[in-house]
Amino acid sequence: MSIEVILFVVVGAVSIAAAAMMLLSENAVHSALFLILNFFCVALLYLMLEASFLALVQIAVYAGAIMVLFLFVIMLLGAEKLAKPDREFKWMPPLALALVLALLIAGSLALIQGEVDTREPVADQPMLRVIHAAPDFGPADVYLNNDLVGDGLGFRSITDYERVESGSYNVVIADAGDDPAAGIPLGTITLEPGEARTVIAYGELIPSLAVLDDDLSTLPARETRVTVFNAYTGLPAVALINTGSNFELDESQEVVNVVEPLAQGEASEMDIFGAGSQTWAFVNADNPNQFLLRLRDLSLERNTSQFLILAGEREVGSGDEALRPVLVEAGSGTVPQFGGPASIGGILFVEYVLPFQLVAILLLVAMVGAIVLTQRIDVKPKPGRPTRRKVSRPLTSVVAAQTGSDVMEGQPRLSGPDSEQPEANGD
Amino acid sequence: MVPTEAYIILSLVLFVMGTMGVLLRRNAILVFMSVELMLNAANLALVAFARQWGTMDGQVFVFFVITVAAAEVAIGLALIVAIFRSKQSINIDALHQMEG
Repeated sequence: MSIEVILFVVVGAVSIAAAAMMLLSENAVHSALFLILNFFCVALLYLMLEASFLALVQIAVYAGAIMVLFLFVIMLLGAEKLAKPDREFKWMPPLALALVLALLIAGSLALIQGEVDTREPVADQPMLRVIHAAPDFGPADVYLNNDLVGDGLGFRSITDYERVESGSYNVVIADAGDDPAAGIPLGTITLEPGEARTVIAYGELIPSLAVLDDDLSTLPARETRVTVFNAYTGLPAVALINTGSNFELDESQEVVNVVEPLAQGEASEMDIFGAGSQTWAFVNADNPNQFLLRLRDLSLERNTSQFLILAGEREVGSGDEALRPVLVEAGSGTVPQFGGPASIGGILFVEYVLPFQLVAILLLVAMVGAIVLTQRIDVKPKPGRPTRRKVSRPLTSVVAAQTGSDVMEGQPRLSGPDSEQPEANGD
Repeated sequence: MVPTEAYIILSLVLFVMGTMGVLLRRNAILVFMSVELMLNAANLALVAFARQWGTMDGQVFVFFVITVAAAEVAIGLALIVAIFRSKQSINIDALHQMEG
């Protein structure tokens, strides 16, 4: 048994035991405490189900706010124990037990018949995309074990990441519209759960296969993951260097490699760079002054994962020999962690705005309703003349009482018609 | 990995226990707590299916259920307090006579 199964059995057993103790406790306070234990167990199960945000909400709202409210009301009413009057409905317990057993049996039957669990959970399925970087191959279809994953891909085109079931696949590239049996087998790839992999077809004449791993987890702001791949067959090795703002190398300038020099078909380690524009250029690894491609338009988008692929493009009309270096840029936004606050917030504020607002209004109404319901009805203002409350004597009359002369004398009275005259000596 | 069916069975058992609490206990507050237990069991099933299908919709629904449960508890406990004031009891058998 894996550790996850053991954890599930233990936590599940504790949650059922806590629910049973809640039902059987005579004291309502004990019941509430057992229910809190049950809620904690359910929060742990949420964590195991990749719902980290809900686990914390469960603890904060359910085990925290709601259960504190319960305990408060139990203790406020002094309702820990009920006096045991005779049951008025003697037929209730056997009928309830029969109904509950029927529900249990029906539910179990539905589970057994329904075959809930025949599929692999989608969240764990590996993701795959295909990049066409083979200059001599026209629009192509790419197949995984006869399943089409890239339909009519032109040179330099990229498919989006798609989820496929994990397993081992034969990759076949064929001319667009051709039978996959007539295609060129590129090789075999193995996809494990949770992986994101990129398949690149590159090279002259007969394409070769390169498989790169991607990392789609969220990055800190203003950073970008970059992987460089050399699919250019015109030179033995290329280097990606940082040139400085003018995209030229001076005589005295030291060559700064962004990544280690790459041989044909070699990929760099995945590295993290600051987002924004970069002054990078691909050069011959043996001769840094031989520029292949200046990446003037390159701007790294923040919080993405970028593949920079240097490929060679056949120049039209200049014979078959010349390969012009071009950049194939394959960017992919990062995917927020499943069940984390970012993913739940994203879907909540994009797809579920209206229900979110309705629930907010419902909470407001509930708040007002609770206040109205608990208000004592017999508290009414007494009929009769409304009494005015004297706050304090005005400062001028205090001064007048102490000095014997009215400081306000001779000045116009500012008091309104309804206010009482200040009394100098008090009552 | 624990199969989704195991979570659904656990959820079913918890739901049934909540139902028994609602039907058999006489203390109104305990009936209320049993309703919370049933809501939690349903939430557990929703989260398990959300993982199974790889979409966040189930988890968003659980979020809404938790919010509605909070509203329901606020109203329900206020009702219990109001009933306790007039009847001096929260035994639900004593409440079926609606007079007064």
